[in-house]
Amino acid sequence: TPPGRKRRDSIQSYKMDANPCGHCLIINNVDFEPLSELSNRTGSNIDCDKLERRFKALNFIVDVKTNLKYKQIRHELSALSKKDHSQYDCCVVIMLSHGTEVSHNRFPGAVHGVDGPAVPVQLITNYLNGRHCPSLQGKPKLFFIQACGGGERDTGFEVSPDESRPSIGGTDDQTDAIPMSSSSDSLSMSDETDARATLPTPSDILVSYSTFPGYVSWRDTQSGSWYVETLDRILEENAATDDLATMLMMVNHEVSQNSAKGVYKQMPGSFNFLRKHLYFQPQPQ
Amino acid sequence: MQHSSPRVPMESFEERLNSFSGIQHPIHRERLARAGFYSTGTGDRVLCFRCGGGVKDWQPEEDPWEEHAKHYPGCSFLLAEKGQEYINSIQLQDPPR
Repeated sequence: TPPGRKRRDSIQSYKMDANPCGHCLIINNVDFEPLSELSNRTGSNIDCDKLERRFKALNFIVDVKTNLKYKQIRHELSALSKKDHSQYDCCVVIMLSHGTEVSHNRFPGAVHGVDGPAVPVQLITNYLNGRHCPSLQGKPKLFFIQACGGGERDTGFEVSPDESRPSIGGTDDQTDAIPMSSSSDSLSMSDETDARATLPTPSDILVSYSTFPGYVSWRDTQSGSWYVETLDRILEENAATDDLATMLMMVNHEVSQNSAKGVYKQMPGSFNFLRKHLYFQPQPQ
Repeated sequence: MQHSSPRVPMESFEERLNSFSGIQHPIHRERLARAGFYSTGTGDRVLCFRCGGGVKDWQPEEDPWEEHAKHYPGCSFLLAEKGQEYINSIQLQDPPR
């Protein structure tokens, strides 16, 4: 641990010294049902293994779930939100699957279950927000999403309105919504007075997408995805010294540089509503 | 066929610009309209025609695109006009936000 690093909750940094630090749920969707018309995601197990090891090394309790259907994804997220996180400082959700374009002004995109239907990212984040998961209020909630945002296959697959409409909290992913009086984004209200926007500002949530929703995300069947490979290495090399936003800048830069060499381009997206710096607590190896 | 799709209100720059007539606003109306915002007619509140995101309590030194990217990073108009690197740079700048 570098000297002088603030570990307590302060104006500048989140408290991150709980032992263990918190839960990390990894949903690894590899084998898709024929009716979904989605291809199997060869190489995803490599990503999954890397991230499982990485977040264990960052002192998280890692739980891996493989090949979940739409309803099972929602069930796992709901179960995670019902856990008591009082003793922990942080919570991480990692989704490895196919993705789809869904518009939303904060957290666009959606992640497919192995049966086909996709869970909107906005809904995924909602499970852990201040209202639905009080024991994570004020604590950083991190979402890492390796998913094709469309392009690889984004034709002919629409989530029905019933399925895309979350049953908890509700979201508004319509582009013509007038959110002025809406409280549907409903996050921890503790800093509502600071909110500049007229929607309650999401608090303490960061979503790191392997690619901007609507763009292709590349996965090597031998070495895993570009994004996870880079994320894992940057975390390994820099988590002891740098904060998360800085590391994500490195990840974004490297993935875009890597892809600029080839025919195809990829730029990860960081949608960051954290209020403070976040320093992980790597365990001595 | 683009012609048959329903017209989005405030889709044009001119319409958005006109929404500010008679409104006192701390930010130049042309800059707001370019960044996709139109006036709701109430105080300094504006909305984006595409993502519906609203912003109020403007400070004179603030930049409409920056506020758009800070609060509504998922907006497809923002992405099309400013690009991914711009959104990431705003999203990953140092707190406090």
